[in-house]
Amino acid sequence: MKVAVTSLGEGLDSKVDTRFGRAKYYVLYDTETKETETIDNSVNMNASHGAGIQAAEAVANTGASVLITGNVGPNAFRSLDAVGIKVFTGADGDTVREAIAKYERGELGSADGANVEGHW
Amino acid sequence: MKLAIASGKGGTGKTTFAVNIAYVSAMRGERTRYIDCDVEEPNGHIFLQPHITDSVPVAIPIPEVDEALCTSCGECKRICQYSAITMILDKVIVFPELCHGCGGCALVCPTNAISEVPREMGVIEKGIIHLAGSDGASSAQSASGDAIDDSNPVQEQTETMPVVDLQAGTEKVFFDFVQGKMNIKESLAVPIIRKAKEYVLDEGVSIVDAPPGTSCPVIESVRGADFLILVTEPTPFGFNDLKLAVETLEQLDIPMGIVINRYGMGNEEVEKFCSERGLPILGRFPFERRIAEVYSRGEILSRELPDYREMIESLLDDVIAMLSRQPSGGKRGVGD
Ligand code: SF4
Ligand code: SF4
Repeated sequence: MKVAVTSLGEGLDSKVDTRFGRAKYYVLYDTETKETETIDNSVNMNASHGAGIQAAEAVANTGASVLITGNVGPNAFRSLDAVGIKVFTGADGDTVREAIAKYERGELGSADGANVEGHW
Repeated sequence: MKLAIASGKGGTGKTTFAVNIAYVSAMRGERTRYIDCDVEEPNGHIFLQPHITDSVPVAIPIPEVDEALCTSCGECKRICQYSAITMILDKVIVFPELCHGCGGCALVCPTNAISEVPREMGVIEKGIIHLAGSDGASSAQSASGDAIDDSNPVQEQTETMPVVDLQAGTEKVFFDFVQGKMNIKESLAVPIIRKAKEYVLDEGVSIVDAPPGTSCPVIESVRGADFLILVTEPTPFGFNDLKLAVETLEQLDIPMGIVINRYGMGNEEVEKFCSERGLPILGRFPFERRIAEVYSRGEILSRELPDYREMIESLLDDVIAMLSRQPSGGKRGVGD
């Protein structure tokens, strides 16, 4: 299973980015193979609108089924939900590595709705 | 006569002028309709106290996807200019708030998986305005929400305002009211404005109160007017916004005039600009305490202050005179 984490830098030791649509990077972690991969989101970061939807699409295309992030707007949440990606929050200030560990221990809360207002 | 009142920015007193021009026009016995197109924040009703008689929802058609028919071809996503319909993996997702209701996606869908469903974004309210005196009779009456009947509740009001009244029980209405109101959290004003403007009168006087600014909703509101009044202030901000408004609205090729509100403060920049551009200044309205007081009570200035009413009368006369000099269009509908 693949977990995507929004992050401020590349790799497992960078900090979690609490923005979803405009996160700098997504770090992907495969819980079976333990492989990681970093995806650059700088294109989306500067998108004038619809960043959340495009980010959802980008994450969906990686094959991730879990997303750890901070603030997800309503459109992004609906997009993620439609393709069955579960959203977890509560890793503010952690590194990606810590966030994934917390997720695996069941310590992160799952978001069942948007937690920020949309902006379009 | 179709008069649009606009302003490069909010807070210049645009609605005050629109309301007063409508009021004075009706008091002269003209068939008059005030149409509030400031759909985000319509507030002409505060002053005019209409008796709302009708309310019509405004909806646009948005797509609904039948997943059983959808082949995930992505055509709908490709055609939508507003990213209101997208495809993530093989799932089509619609974002109703982003949809402009253009119908493009349904048109291109090869399998007819898309049907259109109405989405309500606002409402058009219609009502009748009673030209009551300042005794508050009209507000009391409209608050009671009673239907207008033959017992003629207007009787006592006509004693204070003898010129025009609503002839209850007959079809003849002199002064009425239309406002577009956008639902909270919506962002598409244009479809509502378009609907509100369907109520512009063919005969008589229609006063269209446009939203502030210079964006699409303003243009949609002003389009089709015989004359445009731009309200501004003689301050650097007012001047800047006036310039923007003139530059944008000029393209509609509608004769315009300027009203300077809060005259006496600020500087001469607005006047200079107007004379350079050949824009007639229709009025200079001073900022006075007594005006502010009447305004803050939510009352109509021309009803309370005779000199204010005279200024509005002469403004209206000037506009009519200018329109009658127009080579084409400019049908005279007022004040023969
Ligand atoms: S109706 Fe037009 S705006 Fe709405 S989703 Fe379809 S293509 Fe996009
Ligand atoms: S165009 Fe029709 S068939 Fe193609 S993805 Fe959109 S809804 Fe599905």
